[in-house]
Amino acid sequence: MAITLFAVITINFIVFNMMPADPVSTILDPNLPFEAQQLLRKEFGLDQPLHIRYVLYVKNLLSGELGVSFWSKKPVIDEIMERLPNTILLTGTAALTSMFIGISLGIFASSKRGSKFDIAAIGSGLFAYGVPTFFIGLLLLLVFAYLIPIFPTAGTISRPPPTEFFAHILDVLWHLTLPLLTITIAAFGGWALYTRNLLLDVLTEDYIVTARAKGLSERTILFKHGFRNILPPLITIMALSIPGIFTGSLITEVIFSWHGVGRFLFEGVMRVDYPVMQGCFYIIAILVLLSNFFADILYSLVDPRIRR
Amino acid sequence: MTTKKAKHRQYGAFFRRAKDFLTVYKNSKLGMAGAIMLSLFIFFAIAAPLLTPYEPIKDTYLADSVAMPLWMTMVPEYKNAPRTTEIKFNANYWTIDESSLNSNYFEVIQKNDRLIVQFSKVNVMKENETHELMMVVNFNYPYDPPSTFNIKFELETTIIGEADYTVELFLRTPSGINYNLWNIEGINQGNASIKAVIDSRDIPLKMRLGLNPLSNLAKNTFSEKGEYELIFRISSGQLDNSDECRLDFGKINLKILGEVHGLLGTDHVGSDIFSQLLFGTRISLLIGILAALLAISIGLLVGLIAGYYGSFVDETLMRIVDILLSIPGLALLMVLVTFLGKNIWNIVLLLGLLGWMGFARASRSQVLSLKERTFVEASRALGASNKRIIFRQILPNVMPLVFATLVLSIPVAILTESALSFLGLGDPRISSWGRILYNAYSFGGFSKLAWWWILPPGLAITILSLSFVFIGHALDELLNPRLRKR
Repeated sequence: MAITLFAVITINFIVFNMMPADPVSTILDPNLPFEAQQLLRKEFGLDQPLHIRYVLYVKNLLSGELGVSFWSKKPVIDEIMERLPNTILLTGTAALTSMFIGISLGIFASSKRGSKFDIAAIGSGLFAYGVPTFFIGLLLLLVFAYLIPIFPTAGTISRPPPTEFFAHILDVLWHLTLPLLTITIAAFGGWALYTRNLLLDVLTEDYIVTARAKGLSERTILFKHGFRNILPPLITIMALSIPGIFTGSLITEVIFSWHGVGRFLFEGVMRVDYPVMQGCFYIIAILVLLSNFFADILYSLVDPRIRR
Repeated sequence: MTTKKAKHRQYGAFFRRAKDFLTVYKNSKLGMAGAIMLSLFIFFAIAAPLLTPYEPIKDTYLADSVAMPLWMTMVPEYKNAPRTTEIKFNANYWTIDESSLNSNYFEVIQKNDRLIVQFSKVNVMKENETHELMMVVNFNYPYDPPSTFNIKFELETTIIGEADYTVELFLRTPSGINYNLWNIEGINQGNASIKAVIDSRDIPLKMRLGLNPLSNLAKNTFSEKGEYELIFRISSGQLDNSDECRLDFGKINLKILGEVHGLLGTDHVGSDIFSQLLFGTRISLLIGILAALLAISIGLLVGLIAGYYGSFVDETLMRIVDILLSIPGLALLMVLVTFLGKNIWNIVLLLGLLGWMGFARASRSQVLSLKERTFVEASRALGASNKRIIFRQILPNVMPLVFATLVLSIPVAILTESALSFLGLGDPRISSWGRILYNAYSFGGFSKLAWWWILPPGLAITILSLSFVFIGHALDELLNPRLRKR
């Protein structure tokens, strides 16, 4: 993980400090007066050679020193921290619901091969390959926010936010519905197909035949002998799909004007606000790393061979 | 001679194998469905310029912004929705209103379709009298009130003498209401060239007509169906025999922007959405195929090297793959596209450079198992070089995987490109499906419920991607039989 973190910082360094013609332009606001630029240049160590700047850069990113936004003139880290909970809320709930629905569908599909469930699982899996997430979002937006206006078209919370605690929670959930649905619809099919295929493989194993011969119920066989054994590969796939989940939530945040890090990155790109772009990209990469780390822990929990 | 024969035999074998392959492929329903859908898209991509008369981006204001498709007129509510009406009023369309005061002092000439009004010296002139000429042209407007119209003409004046002239333009509705759309007073001695553009959205014009600045002038003026009249009134101050004048109106053009247009209506700048959709097919296919080719080539190279050489090389390459796989691709793409510039070649390059990791892994594990096979061992024992083993023994056996993965990588590239374009990071000079959706999202397609603007590009992306997914799955089942269903 530490290596990957350094790799992420290095990629950041390469992209933001070596790519453009003048690296200064990515850190310094071009509208500042010349003297101020010179001062800041010194402060950021931009007059130093590349390797020293790299060390400084690593130190800055590790300590959360992400610069100041050209647009709002506020520290980028503060702006990101304000938006981070929203992103975690959306991405987390979306990942959980899509996995829950998808895996359940996959289990039912594999227990009833060739049934409607099975066809639905295969169909939704292929569908997930072909339909762009943003198109699902746009359709939901068109139908449930414009055509039948029962959900908000934009935002994370009403303005002004409700003061009462439960009303506040309900309001957030009301805003969350469409973005959450978008990512769930886009992602559950993949899970259904993976689970189905993995389970079908496992269900032909000898120990399943043995279990059947012992007269165990199909339910026990499916969950205790079948599902239990596909958990490790399922978690591997989960870890691999994490960047994809964040990509999906990025574009969903943009569509529904969700006040999160993904939309902030988009705004940074639109306004050519380099510190914001850099900070958001860094934070999203860190989120992916952390999720991967949790997936690793989960893996060791479900696979007894790894447990010490 | 023998080599030629051998070659012949080789080609024969190739054709026989291709034929066998096609026979088996035809049995796959999914594969055939994908192939049929794909060939349709390829047809659209090639025939795009033949299927539509419009340029997708350059032709603007073919109709009003966000016009409905033409077939919406089948709905009774929109039966008489305004169609784009463009009339060039040639000089010979105009007639002189005989009732206008002393009109016979003026002479109307037609020259190369230009309408020229002259004060003729030949006419006998009463001194110290004002004069007036009215010219009228008729046109029919049979539709509902439009939202926008404009009138353009160029007026060149040459005046000799002391008198001032006034030129006014009126629109007279079938029920006889006059709208003074344009006037210019005090044209006097000398030459002048006036470029007149009358736009119904012009706020000073609305104010002058006594309308609310927020009201719609076009809806007011064209609220009736029937014969409209456009009237020029030219009046002069006191004239005498030494006065001369020449008013050259040039070509006079009226355009009423329709609210229905073509198969899929228009976007926010009045461009034809159907032609954008057609030309978008080219972009999606081009970017998808090129980016997938690049990604698969890099992935194959890395997979072959890592799998065959193993040890340290393998470790390093796979570590890089792991790291790149754990980076959210779209976020990096967004940042890189802003740095490198929004054009399709950059996008192809970036999609290729960021999309090879999955296949590198798959091909590596394939190479790892192939490396241990007896035929590789045999050729190594015979003293074959590494290069020969890789290209002659291992590569041909990885090819089935290459083909299937290549086809399955195309939809990934297509979806990513459309996502980028949807975020407004696509090439601004070309029309791609993602960009149509970006326009619909950013410029009022949703608030106007313009589903014909939103659904077609989204469905096109979906169906094109699915056709590649179907073909890819069919190929995978055929070429990699170990994955075949039990």
